[in-house]
Amino acid sequence: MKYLHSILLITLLVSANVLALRTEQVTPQDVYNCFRALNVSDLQFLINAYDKGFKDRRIAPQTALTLCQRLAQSAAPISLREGVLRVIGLALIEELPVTMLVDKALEGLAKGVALEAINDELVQRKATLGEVKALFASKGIRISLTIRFGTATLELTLEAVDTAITEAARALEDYVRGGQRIEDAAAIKATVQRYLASNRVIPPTLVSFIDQVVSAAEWAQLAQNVANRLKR
Amino acid sequence: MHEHELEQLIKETVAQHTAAYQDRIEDLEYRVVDALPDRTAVLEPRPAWPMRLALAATALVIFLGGFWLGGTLSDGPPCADPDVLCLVYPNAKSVALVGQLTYWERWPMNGPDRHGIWWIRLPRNLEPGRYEYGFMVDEYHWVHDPRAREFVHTFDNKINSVLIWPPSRGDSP
Repeated sequence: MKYLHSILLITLLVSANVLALRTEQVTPQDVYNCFRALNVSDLQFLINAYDKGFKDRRIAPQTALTLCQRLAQSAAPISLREGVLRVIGLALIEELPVTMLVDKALEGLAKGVALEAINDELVQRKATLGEVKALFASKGIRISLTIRFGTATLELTLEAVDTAITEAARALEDYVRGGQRIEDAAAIKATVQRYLASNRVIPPTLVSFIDQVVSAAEWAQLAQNVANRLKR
Repeated sequence: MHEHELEQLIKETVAQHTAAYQDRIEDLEYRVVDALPDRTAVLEPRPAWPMRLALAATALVIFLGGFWLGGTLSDGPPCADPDVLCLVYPNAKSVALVGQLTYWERWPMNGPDRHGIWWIRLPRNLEPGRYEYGFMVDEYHWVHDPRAREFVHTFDNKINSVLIWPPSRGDSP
């Protein structure tokens, strides 16, 4: 009987431990510790930038930690590894969506792409994100604003707007990098609309609104900018 | 003792024993035949249903086993399933799925089978969406999926395949 009690107690303790491990969440502090372990030159900048990103809910601590840990595995100089974190940090300060940037950084690391090339890619894509955001803002597509489209009214959430910016920027980048014709404004617009429509996070009303208010020529101009950046 | 003397001795011994047990040997075949009806009880037919049930169960096991064996031996990887990604790469030592759906981690693929096919089943809880991916062959060689419907150019002019999930009817993954 004495042993039975001991066994039960041990089982309970092990179960509680396992449960605690499963529910353990990554905190911003874990991310900053990882930055610190990388020996970055401007730790305070990264902390400020990512802290804003966590508060704005543009990046999750788990995502930032994964990126930091993958960078820690790289053998590249610390300045290049810090460069990746810095570009994403700048995007967070500028209130740009960073999903695509994090994704591209992880992709490059997984493929063993040189960190210089990853940094260049991130800088180019961040510029495209900024241009799409500015275009949308000029059309009244901003977070927390309400758009009226026909009989429909739509409250624009951060998630919806950020995802729309990301998908539009991704569509432009894919279109240009795929070697398709920059002069074909209608094809560029069709590609952007297809990317927007295929993402279920973006409300169909917003997709229709963007189709209505952003012209093919405006999308073509942004595609041209992407092409110019790639030529450099 | 010569051989013929030994043979003679054996014959005499057998004759002596035969004479001694004559009364037991006599009519032996008739007595055996007479005893047979008593033994037929052993061979009386038992109720038929357990035998039929056993036969049916055996047939069912053979039938299902055949299905399983046939599927295992002849069909190979389930590449026709919409949630399975396949790559034919007979000379590879390892192939891993890498992409947005794996968070750019390497997920080792099953295989190769005897035709050099590597395969992996997508997670059951995969959210609807658009996922870029590719295959990492032998740890460093990036290969796109020739069965994909869409492709995008990426780093170093390499190509990512695009998975639209769930696939529309008739689409391969």
